[in-house]
Amino acid sequence: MNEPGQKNPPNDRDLLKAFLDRRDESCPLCGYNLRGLTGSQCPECAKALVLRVGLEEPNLGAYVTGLIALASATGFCFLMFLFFVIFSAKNNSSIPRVYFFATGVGAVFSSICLVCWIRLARMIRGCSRSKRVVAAIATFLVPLICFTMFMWAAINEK
Amino acid sequence: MNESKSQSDVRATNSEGLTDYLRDRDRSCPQCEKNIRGITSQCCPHCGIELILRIGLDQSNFTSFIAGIIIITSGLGFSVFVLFLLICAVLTSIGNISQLQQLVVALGLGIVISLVALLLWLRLGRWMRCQTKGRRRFIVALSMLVPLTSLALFLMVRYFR
Repeated sequence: MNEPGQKNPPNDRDLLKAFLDRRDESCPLCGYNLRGLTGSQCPECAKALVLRVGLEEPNLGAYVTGLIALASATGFCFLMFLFFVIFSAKNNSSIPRVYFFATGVGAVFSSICLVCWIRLARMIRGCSRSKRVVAAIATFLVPLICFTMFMWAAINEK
Repeated sequence: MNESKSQSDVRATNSEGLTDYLRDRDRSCPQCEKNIRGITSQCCPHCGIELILRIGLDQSNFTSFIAGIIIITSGLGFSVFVLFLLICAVLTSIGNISQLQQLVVALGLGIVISLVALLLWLRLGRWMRCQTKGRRRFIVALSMLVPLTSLALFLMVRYFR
């Protein structure tokens, strides 16, 4: 029980109501203006809303750029590996092992980099702008390495 | 002048709202994940990042959205890199342009399909986050058709040559 004169902390619903009393905030899902909302659901899409502590600047640009670079490298290596497997199985042709090696190693390497990038998302978003840009540029090394490995395999095979 | 005054007012209100919210609540910093209960400024005392109080969904449903981007981009990466390989082959006179024409068309088609799917995915991001968990998983599974289509187009040309 509270001592006399001690105020009860406002609950989440009251705080949400007070927060939206004088603010033009839009629903994160449907974009509906929530100013003056009295409940805790969006009147338009009926999704439950909460107050959340977030970053002033979400800094997502570098993170998404890195994600695209790494995912494209993984896709290239993995699908090429799959292509060689299907092609050699169907045609009974002997595709040089060096291609399997290059694409297999590339697929594992780029997948590890992709998982690390996803895991380190918070750290990346917390870095300074210049460091984020450097990190995003560095991710392009992964598709470059995979591509070089494949070229190396093609040259060696010749 | 008035604009800068109203901006500073909004900032002050935001800071007040944030400190009020965190006065009696155990919440973690979205950056360093340390407890920020009872902070008195708008910055995290541990990592110094600027914080803001904002409206969010009870469940953010963001994982499937990111998974879809990764899957679709992998298909795009395959088509782009293989096309680049073919261009390199033609430029270094390893391959003949007339022999590679069908492959280039197949890969170009793969790139167009992947780009359209990626744009659609980004546009429908909000709609997808509204769906139930089962439906979201189904849509992510459907997105796997994009890289598979790129691979199938490439395989088809190789077989029918």
